[in-house]
Amino acid sequence: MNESKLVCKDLVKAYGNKEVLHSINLELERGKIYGFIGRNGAGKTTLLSVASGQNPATSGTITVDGMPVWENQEARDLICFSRELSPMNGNGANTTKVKDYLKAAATYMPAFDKAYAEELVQSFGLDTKKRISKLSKGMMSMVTIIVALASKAEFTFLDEPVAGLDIVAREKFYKILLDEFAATGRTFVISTHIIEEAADVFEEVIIIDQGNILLTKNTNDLIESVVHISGKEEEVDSVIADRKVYNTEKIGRSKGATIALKDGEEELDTKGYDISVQPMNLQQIFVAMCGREA
Amino acid sequence: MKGLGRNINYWFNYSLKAFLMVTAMMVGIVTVTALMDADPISISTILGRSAGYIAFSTFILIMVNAFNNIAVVYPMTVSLGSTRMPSLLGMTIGQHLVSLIGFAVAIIFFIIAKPDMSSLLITFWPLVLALLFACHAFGGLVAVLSAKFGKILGMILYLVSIIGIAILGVFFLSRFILDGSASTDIALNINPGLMVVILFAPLVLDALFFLLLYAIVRNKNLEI
Repeated sequence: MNESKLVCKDLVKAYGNKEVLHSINLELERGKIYGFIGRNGAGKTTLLSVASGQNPATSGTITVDGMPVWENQEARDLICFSRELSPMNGNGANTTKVKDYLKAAATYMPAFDKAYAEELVQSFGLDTKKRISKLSKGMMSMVTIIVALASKAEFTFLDEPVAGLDIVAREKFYKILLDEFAATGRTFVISTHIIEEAADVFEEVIIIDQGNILLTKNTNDLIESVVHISGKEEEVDSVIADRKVYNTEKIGRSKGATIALKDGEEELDTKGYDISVQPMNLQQIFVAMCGREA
Repeated sequence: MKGLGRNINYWFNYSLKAFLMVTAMMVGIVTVTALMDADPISISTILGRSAGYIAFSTFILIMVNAFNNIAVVYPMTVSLGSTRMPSLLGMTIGQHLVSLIGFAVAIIFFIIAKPDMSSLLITFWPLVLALLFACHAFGGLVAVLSAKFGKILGMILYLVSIIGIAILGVFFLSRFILDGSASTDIALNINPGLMVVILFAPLVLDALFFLLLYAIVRNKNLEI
């Protein structure tokens, strides 16, 4: 396996005076499935579009295998960002037929596997004669999935691929994705809001919030290193005093907190305290990190 | 330029498909209307009538593509992995080639229908080419305005151009085509310097609007 990497360095993106990505530093290694999670408007799609070279960065650099991505066809050929399709486009209804869209993808993506795309079309039961504007949300997701998987690009980004898909289609997608990953070792970056369902698929997780990367970490390591504690307020305060705290909430006279275990710490030592310690799943960790209600 | 080949391939086929559809429709309409005429129908009648429609629809396609391509198809090509300059170049080359085919088909139909007018077309071929580039230059202006200020302005310009070209077409048909000798005389009496300007100004403008379009979209955030 080669050591190709996609690297974003001090990446800033602004629309006019509004900065939406703040000095992003991110390294994507080959042969991993990254889960890319963040709230609506956190900057997920913007980051993926800039990292893939579809839109320009305001400042900073993006390289793949050491080559700049922006306006470099050789680098862009290594990346596929299959965007969420829209029933509308710049001129009203998106009247492009699915087969024409797939044909365009085959023209522009040098490694596009037409036979595999056809196999996926059959597998999802998609009618390629339909116009995009006539597709349901789920069917549009299928098209973006087919383009992404059949692109065979080294770095493949999928933006909300399971949006609108029913549970059967979602399960099918995860299975096909894992099969493809096992066969090719390509890198996938998948942004999704359906976190818990996809958590098992993500080897690494990237959390973005308000244009900042909060963390990039192995999913299992993250889940094992974050716990939720609850108990009397003063005892909880005492335990969290010298720890990284992601979130706190007060429930009557009790207090809860989501905290990170220290390096090398396998479990929280609560001797002498009447404190409950609960493991957390990825979705709960995400909510604790990015939900600012508490 | 890496990626130019696939862009020319895509844009040429995309433009050609639209042209063939419009041409088939035009010939179909002309054939049906010719069948309904009391006069005996002939292939040369159908071709002769189709020639003008095909030339006109080629112009319409240039205009429609001017705002449609930059607003819809170009962003799609970028989202599918093309870099920007090759896509714009591919778009331009593809459209020019297809419109050249369009004009060529119209001229061939016209010559078959009216063989006696072929000498006129031979005399005027540089003007026909200049007219083609003028259409593209105008299309370029529409594309530039659409890219800079939004498609509405482009669409308004498109409608204005259709009305304008229809009026000019009527004028041109009645004054020159129907009286070939008069137009030949005018052409022969034009100052050579002015003739050079008439011939090359559209080409220069076409190239200028292409560069302006690239300057607008090269760093533009595409809403795909």
